[in-house]
Amino acid sequence: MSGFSPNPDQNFGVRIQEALGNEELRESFHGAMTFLREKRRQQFPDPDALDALRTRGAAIRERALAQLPDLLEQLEGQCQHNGIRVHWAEDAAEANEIITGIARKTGGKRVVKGKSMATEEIGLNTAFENAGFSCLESDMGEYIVQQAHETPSHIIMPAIHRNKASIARQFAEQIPDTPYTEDVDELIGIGRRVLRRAFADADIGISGVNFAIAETGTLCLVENEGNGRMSTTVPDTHIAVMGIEKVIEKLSDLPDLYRLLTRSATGQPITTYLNLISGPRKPDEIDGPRQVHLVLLDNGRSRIYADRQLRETLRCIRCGACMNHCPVYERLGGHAYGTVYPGPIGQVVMPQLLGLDKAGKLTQACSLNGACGEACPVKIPLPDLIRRLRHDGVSRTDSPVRGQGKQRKWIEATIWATWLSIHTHPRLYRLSTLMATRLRRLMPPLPRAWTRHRSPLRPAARTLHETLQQRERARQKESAREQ
Amino acid sequence: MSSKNAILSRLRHGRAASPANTAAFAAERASDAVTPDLDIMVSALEAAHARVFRSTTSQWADDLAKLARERGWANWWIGGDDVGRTWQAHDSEPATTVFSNWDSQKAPLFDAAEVALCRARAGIAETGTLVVESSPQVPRTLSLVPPVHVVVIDEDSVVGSLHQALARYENKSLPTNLIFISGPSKTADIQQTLAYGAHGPRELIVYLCRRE
Repeated sequence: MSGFSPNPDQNFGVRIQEALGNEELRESFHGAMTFLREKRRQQFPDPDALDALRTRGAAIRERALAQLPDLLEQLEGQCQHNGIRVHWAEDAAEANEIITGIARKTGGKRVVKGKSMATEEIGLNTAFENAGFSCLESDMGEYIVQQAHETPSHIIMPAIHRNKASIARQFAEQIPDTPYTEDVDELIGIGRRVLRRAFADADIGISGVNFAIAETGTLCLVENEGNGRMSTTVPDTHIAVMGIEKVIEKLSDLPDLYRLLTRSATGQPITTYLNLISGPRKPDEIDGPRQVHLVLLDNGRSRIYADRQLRETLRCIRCGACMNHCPVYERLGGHAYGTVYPGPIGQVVMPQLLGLDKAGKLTQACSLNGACGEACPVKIPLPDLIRRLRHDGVSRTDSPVRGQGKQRKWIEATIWATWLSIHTHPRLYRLSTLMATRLRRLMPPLPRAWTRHRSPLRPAARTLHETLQQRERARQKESAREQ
Repeated sequence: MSSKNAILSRLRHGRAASPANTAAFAAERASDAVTPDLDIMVSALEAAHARVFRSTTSQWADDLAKLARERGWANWWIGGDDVGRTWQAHDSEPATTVFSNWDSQKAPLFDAAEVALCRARAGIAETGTLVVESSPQVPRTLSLVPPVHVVVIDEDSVVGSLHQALARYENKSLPTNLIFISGPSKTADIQQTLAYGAHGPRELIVYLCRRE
């Protein structure tokens, strides 16, 4: 994976400390998240209408998932009927092999890519480099990030962690004959000039897929810039990569999901382009790719699918609203997670993809405040799923998630077992609270990890029961005197 | 076993092991029909930074010729649709290229084209959206590569919602590329600052025509 860790748990704490100490990053994310939340809020003025739309979105996705194997076969049949070649990939390695194989057969060398999280997931850029191709990201944000040898920090706005001054410096240093400018229109103009050349010269275009319609064999791409249209229209070969969960049943399922996606993601009523691709160039047509390929990527999804609760993860339409509303993501930014999908959806998806032994710690970066679940346009119960994965991380269950029980620590387990026992045995409870209050001076100070950012705690001199009893006695005495 | 069979068999086993809760599907409604409001269409397009002119089916070419002179556009590209033919036949016609061959015309399309002209098959009032179908007469890149895109659309082809626009394709095969355009190309990837003309047209100009 290009820059993403296969073991994000490693040094997660270090990355968190670094992110929290980085003022530029904190400022960028705070500004961007506040902006995106406010824009989304304006798009959904009526809470009842929003809830009805989210319920419909969830139902459309659930209906598709209920028929997933059949819809995938129908999609394959319809695509083939339309002249789109369909490939199936079990994992990242097989997907990369298929894609580089197709690219090699074209005889071309130059690849342009539209924004796609599925290709980030499989580390396609690295696979292309290793196979001797140059693969240029064409989304403005992705282009900036790739040029700086970074990874995206948000699934919708990849360069959200950067400010215009640092982008201006980067362009002036890395693009020949480019003066330093902080004017955003000029910066975009510079990107446009470079990338136009790349589109015109490219042999192969890569894209993701926002929705694939089984009924018609259609690939839907949602975007504002036009780089997705360029990548899927100008090169002779177009290869689309999608997770198998992205299929929907019918053309009439599209409007509600599209409306939810654009409003939840960037608070736009609509994007500039909704691009529906149903086949390569026909013999009498003038332009468009001569071949279109669709790669269906499993990469752990069919395993998730077997578990009724975890299956809800697969409803995701990748809008990023859960990140925009997460107070932890807002403070850490996307890079601290070290994963392709950061934020709440990442905390749910990554442990399922990589295993709880490698990504289980991610689920701890959550205060269970529930904001993500309330923002999700398809009502994925993200807080419930985070709790479920925390549970799987410390217990042995029949969960299909790998690495279960690997987050278990004996000291934590012992503390909780003791806690459970005290709170389910009244006598033990009374005894322990009595001890805690009477012997409070003997209590050792809390670990520094706790007290560094919080005031130190001391048990009260009396238990809550005693305090309340005392108060009650005083009240009775008072009322007896009045009579 | 092929990857396809392995994936499908895991999904089928998974579904049998934990079947879906079909009660959730009841929440769906039938597609909604909205009466198109042209004023909403115009204000939505303008909000998305497009320029809209109200005209008529017989008047738009004169109006456009006037704008063309004002702006000094010299390098025009058209396809083979009725709008292109009308423009070509118009007496004040500037230098116009008919886009008919990809291999020989790709370089000038990218390097020299200033304005592209085509028809939108339909419009969506609610969101200010133009529906452009690819065809031998309307190449896909015509509405994408030149920096200015002029669209001619008839008022009576405007529908209320995306649901209604898609319903036109029920039980028909879709064009190879069906594009819904709602403004000029844009991006907010640098510090959430909106900039137009990211990769596609910088300007979108719409002639909304009453039939005569």
